[in-house]
Amino acid sequence: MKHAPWGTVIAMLCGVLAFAGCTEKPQEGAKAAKRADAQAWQGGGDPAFMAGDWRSGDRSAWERQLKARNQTQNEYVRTQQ
Amino acid sequence: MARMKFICDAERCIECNSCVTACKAEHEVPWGVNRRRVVTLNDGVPGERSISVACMHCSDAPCMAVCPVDCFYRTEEGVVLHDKDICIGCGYCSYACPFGAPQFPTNGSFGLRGKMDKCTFCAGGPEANGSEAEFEKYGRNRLAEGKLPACAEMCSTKALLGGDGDVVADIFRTRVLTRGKGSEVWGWGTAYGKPSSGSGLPKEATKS
Repeated sequence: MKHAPWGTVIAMLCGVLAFAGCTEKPQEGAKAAKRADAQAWQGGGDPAFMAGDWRSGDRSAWERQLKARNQTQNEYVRTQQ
Repeated sequence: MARMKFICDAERCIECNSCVTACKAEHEVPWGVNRRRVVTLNDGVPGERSISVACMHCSDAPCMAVCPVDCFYRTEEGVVLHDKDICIGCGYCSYACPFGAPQFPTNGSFGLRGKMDKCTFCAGGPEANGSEAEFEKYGRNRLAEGKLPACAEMCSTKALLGGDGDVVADIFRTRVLTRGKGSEVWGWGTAYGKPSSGSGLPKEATKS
């Protein structure tokens, strides 16, 4: 049986490697999509900056906190304090 | 559920710009971008009036309608926010907005227009509440801290009211009834529609 010459084998390997270089990675960018935003009453961030005594995730307490804080803009209430 | 709104009482605004300063400082807004500004009507004429103007977070926001990449969204509290990762800075929103709220930072030697920036009602953006990423892109998220917008809370004469629409309307109505004048609210009709019979504002209280 006649063996293939080394030169032919090497040439075939080089060919395979050259074709491998032609492969291309997918370049499709991810489509920008809207993300769901966390609700304000869920809180978050540094606890040192939290105002009032409401707890993160307590929606009704958050609403009460904002209503109470809103009254600080009402001078008719502030002058009575 | 609270529906967040702004009211500026033109009878009280003394054009001190503390709202502008509070906003700039709270959110570290860059040079050239003013999320809030004070506008004087009939400047120099006796009877001039000043009002503080920013995004009013309209009920039927025209910026949302014209955005070609649909980057705007509205929170449960009625605050109109946008995603800067989607915004392409085209500027359509600035043409559509009746209040001139959308701002565009200019960057680099050629004055390239960046992504749109506007008042967030101190509610941040789609990043995680209170995160560094949210602060860098949108500023502080005061609502998630149980606070109200810095501009309204810092207003020295309490001309600028911000918070639950029913509460601020009640505060304003009490004032108007007490002083017996100055019921006009500039921009209220444009932003939130004409007042209906239970809107909380006095009769003829809008000035679009």
